[in-house]
Amino acid sequence: MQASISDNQLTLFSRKRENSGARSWRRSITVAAVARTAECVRTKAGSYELRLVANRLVCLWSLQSVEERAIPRILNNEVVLLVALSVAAFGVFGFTRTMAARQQRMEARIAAIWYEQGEQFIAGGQVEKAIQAFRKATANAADDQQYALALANALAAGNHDSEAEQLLLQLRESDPEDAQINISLARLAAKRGDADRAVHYYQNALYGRWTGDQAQEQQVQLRNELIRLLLQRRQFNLASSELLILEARIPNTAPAHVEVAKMFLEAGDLQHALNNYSEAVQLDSHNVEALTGAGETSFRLGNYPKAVQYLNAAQELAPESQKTSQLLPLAEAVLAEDPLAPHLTAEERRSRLLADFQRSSQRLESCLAQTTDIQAGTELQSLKTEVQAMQPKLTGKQLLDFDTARSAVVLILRIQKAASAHCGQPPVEDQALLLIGHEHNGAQP
Amino acid sequence: MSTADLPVLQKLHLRENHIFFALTILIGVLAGLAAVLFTLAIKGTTHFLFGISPSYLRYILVPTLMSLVTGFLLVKFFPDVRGSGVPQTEAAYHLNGGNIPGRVAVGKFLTGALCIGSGHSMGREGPSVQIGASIASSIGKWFHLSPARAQSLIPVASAAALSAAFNTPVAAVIFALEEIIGDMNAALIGSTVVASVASVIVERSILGNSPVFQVPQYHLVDPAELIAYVVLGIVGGVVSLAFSKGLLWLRGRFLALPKRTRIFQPAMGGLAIGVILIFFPQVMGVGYEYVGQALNGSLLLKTLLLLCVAKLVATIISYSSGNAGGIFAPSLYLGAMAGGAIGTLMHRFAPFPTGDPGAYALVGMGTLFAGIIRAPMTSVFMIFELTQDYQVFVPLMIANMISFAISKQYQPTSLYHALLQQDNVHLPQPGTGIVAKSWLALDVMARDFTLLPPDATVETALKTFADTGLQAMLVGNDGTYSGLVTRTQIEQAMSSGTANAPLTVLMTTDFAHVHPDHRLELVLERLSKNPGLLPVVSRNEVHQVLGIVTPQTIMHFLQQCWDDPGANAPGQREASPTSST
Repeated sequence: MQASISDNQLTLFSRKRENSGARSWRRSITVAAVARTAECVRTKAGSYELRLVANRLVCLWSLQSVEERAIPRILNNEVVLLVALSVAAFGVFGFTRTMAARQQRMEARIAAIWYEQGEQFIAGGQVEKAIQAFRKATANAADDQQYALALANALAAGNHDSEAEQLLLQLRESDPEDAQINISLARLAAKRGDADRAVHYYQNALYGRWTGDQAQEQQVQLRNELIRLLLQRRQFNLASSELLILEARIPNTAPAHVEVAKMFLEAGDLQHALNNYSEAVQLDSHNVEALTGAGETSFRLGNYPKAVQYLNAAQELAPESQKTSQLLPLAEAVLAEDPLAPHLTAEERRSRLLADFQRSSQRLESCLAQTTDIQAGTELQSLKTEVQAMQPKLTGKQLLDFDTARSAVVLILRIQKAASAHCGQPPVEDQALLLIGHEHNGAQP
Repeated sequence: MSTADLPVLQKLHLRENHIFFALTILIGVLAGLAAVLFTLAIKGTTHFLFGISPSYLRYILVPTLMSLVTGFLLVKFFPDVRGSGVPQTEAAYHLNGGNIPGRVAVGKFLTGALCIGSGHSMGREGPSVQIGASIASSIGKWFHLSPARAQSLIPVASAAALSAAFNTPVAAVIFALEEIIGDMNAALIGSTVVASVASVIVERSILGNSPVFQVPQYHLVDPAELIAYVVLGIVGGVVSLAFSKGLLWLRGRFLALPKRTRIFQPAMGGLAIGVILIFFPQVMGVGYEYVGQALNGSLLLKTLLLLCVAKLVATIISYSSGNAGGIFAPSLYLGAMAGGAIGTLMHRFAPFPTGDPGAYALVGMGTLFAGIIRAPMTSVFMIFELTQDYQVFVPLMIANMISFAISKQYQPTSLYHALLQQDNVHLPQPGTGIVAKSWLALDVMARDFTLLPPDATVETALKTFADTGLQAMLVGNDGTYSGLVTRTQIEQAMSSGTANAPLTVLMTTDFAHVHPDHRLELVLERLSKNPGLLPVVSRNEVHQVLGIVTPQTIMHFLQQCWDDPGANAPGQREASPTSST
């Protein structure tokens, strides 16, 4: 479709213009303009083509040449439209953002409602319903870490461990230092028996980022959990390290010190255990557990006077305590029978030694008569020979030197050990002799 | 004021390709915004209609009543917006020059939001594509673009809309090329990429960077696991087939009902959906929340199987009854459930180590997408964009290929095209880059030809023209040409008394040529521009003539085809006529 006037037509018009008067010329132009415009409308010519036609007709009307009159292309329709659309796009963008923000607020409210429901279900023990509620919460607020963590914990509680772990790992990817996420991962790993990962996550949690008022208490509790896990795995050295840190952070109360002392005891660190028990006793002198623990620890450390002191106090408060009933007589027997105890006169020392030796000899005789094992019998017989050799040294009138006394104590120890090995658990007095023997085995004056 | 005095203003005169580029970006932004608004509208409608914990009565009433409204709108005001939107967009692109009325965007937005928001089991991606394409078509009209350019805006807008709707810009581009245009070699790759990127930037700036699904890390546990993915491909093909056949069958039944029932058909579907929602509320709407659960292995085998069946039935009912919504999202949902079920079964019974069921759900999504939508490349790229993991490629391609093959074997026409055929619209079959066999220049050229020596005279040439009967001849020697002369030129030279002039004076060097592997369409196009002769030249030496094509050689070739149809396979013809026949 040619909407514009061709050059040939322009030439023709120019000749006509030359030949006719201006008035008839303009009449012709008007007719041509109307006809041309109608054609353009009919053929749906673009605006540019219409302007071109108009321009040429105006030129002819005003008897100007096309070159003398140019279309002032101040405004280009395409540019105007582009600018208008761009402005519209900005407007729509703003509107969409507003709508999106409103939608997000609504979803956040819905998510909060589901989260509350989930918490209620968890409190009521309905784990599966809680999971569904938390899923709804996370579906409405995908970026909310609290909801996702609640879902993960609910999944773990509902034994959906695999999914819980995946979710927690995804959360940890975006925030690896969050303590709560690491705690959840640690507990999940511990539950699945992966102790190495559990320890790793516990430590990450302990040194991670904590929020909230109760952060310190939670950290203490968490370290407690870690230590229990380490003790369970018999990683005593690591447990002891953690216990030392825990010891410095626990509240200064008797029950807290008792808990720590127990764990020290389990880790095999008797001294620290005793320290904590003693601390607990100082804080609460009526704490039976602390007194019993202190007594037992002192007993195991060989500090029998202290042991008797603590155990006596414990027994006064809790006479029915079985542990106290077992340990106290033994401790007292040790104190009463130890021939090498300090501050004894020579007579007292000799008297105790003789009594111990006598008892041990009787135990030996009894065991020798009892046993049928040849090897045991040989050993016991050998000991009996030694007893017979030692006897004159003890019963003689000469002064009892330390070496002889010590040798006698060692012999007593050997007798008691052999008798325990071949003839069963000895009575309390003989147990005391065992303990005395262990204590002084290798001791210096 | 003359134009010469307006250099700055002259710069404002935009050529069409510049306008097109600017529009590409603008349409990308607008289509992206439209897709985001559509998503928000669906969510808002769902929350408004169903609340937080809907009762059974609400499940029944909402889809039914809203479908009555949408049925009225679809019949009275917006008859073009039923269904997905992708088939209609394809039809507009291929058959209507890309012309989509502007009211389609409004109608699709409104009815789509109401249908999907009221619980129908349909997707939002297809409607987003149609909305975006309609906006683009309207803008193209406002700018009075040429028909070719206006048509090109359709796939550009489609890619942009899908990119925003699903947050996968690369897969969106591939989808536009593979499905809308049907040609992976389309020249619009650049434009679709630009629009897709613009759209996804807009979408992420509004909705954030969170992915549609939280996808677990994928890994292939054991090479033997590929056997499991073969099984998944087979199952995926069967489910795809069941879905496609079921949808077409039920839609056919609905279409066969009297036309006066069209206004109520969506409500019939709505009522059925309401009943299904009472038992399976998980199949409501798009359902991506449950796809996410399947991907994370949260669903039991029984749940996976039941949801797969329920979603299949619900989507078939929703779509067939004439509601406005897509099948893109339901395909992914079905794939996730079917894949998850296969994964669970494999995990329990396979004699080799297998991965988590979630990995199978992930591959299942792509598998069902390839089987139902028949866009395998889109499927691969989509899953890759979701996982950002190359390891998923191999099992995905295996399962896709099998599902695609099964689906194509028993349902040769793709679902989108079949839906159009039900509406008496027949689209050209899409190519996927594999060029069908075509006649080449090699087949129609004459290898026996005469070259006029450059030093030959006009008189000599005239005699040769008389002997050969050709209208034009090449000038050259030893199989190499240097120019072309026409019979008219020779006759004019003779009549003007220059019979002894050498041909080098008369010959022209400005003419087209082809190579032996050029398709017949190109040969005909270039022959029409040359004066009666088209040289076929070697690619290694462009002046070396291998043959000539003239109208006579083409007629001779056609005659041979008629005489012996089996003897002339494309590209293989050995015998050739002489140039003089």
